[in-house]
Amino acid sequence: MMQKKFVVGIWLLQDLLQVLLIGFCLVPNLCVTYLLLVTMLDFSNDALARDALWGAFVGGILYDLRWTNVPGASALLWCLSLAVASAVWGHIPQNARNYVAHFWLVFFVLLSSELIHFVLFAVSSGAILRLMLLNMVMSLVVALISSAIFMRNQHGDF
Amino acid sequence: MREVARESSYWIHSVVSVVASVILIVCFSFAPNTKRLVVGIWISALSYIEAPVVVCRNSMESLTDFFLARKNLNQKITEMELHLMSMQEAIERSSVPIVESEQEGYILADVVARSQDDWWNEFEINKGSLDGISEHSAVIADGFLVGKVKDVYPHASRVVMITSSEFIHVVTVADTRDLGLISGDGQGNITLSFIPVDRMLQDGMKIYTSIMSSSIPPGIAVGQVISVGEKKTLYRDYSVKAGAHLTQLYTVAIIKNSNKGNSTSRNNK
Repeated sequence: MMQKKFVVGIWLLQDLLQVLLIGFCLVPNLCVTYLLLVTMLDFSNDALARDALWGAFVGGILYDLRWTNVPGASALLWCLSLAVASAVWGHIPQNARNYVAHFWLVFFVLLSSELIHFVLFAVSSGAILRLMLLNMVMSLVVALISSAIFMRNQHGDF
Repeated sequence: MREVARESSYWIHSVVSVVASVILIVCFSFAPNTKRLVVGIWISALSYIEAPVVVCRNSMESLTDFFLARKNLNQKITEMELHLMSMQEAIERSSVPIVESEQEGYILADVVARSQDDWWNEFEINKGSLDGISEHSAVIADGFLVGKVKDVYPHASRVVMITSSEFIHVVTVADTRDLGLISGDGQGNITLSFIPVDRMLQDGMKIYTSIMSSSIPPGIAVGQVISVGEKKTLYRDYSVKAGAHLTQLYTVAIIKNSNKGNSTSRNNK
């Protein structure tokens, strides 16, 4: 089962990393990545999926209160991301749900949510392209790590 | 085992969470004060946890700024040193006339006579008034002033040396722009006089002819300060070493004097 303190810890880690790298780049959404990982590893567990959904809701609101000043915007985005990812994952055949599919799904979710974040909240400037490219590279790394953990834990309890 | 879809309760929760998010967005947009209060409380609470990271980030920024500033300063120092060197070279080049040909305003002459009794006072050269030499013209060797023309004959001239007791000329110290007088003692020594006591000149400072003379052009190198001499009330004397090799004068150059009214020709040689 998902450990709630893990979610809190990862949310704080994302926040502290963002404070450290503020002005340099946008930290990828570690919280959503973790929630996707736990729900995909135990996809049949609907209670876990519901907890993850509300965890994304609360985490999104707290993120908005800290960074975007539009409470509810990130919560909406994170919940939609989880729901869409669950729908897509549910339509993938059982034997095709491997670390490769997990990687692409997580990478797509991260990229989409960050693109929407840039469109909604980022100030237009010459540096925005550099930030987006940097963010894309970091999302790739996070997705790779998540898929590696998925591969390792696919057949065990997480 | 459910392979495809989740239970409908999951989707109901999804819809509820999405609707709740939208409601929050709308409510807070109509209650800016409440939003401000809640945001303030949350940021204040988080600041305690984020404080160490903020300190770390500020330290990294300060360190980066320090190294960048140090690098910029080093570059500027190097540029300024190069600029200073080029300026010094330009000054030295402009004050040392290059004797290349007589078309450039110089008359080349050979030293034909130098008496041992007057070794440090005067010598004779093999060019005179018929060659364009005039009285009080500056005489240089190796780019340095060695004297000026004292007497002119049709085919010869006599030069009084800077080491002669008859020679006095206004000069300027390149580094400090102080004006002084150089004079010889007839024994091979040159003294720089009338430098104010508080202007402590250093060994090696270059001396050039000054603009305060109508006969010898300004900017001709004379020599350099070699030691501090006697203090006389408000002024101090300095010993000067001539730049030219005064013991190896074989060929000299005489600067053509543009003031032709001063030239005097003696016809008894």
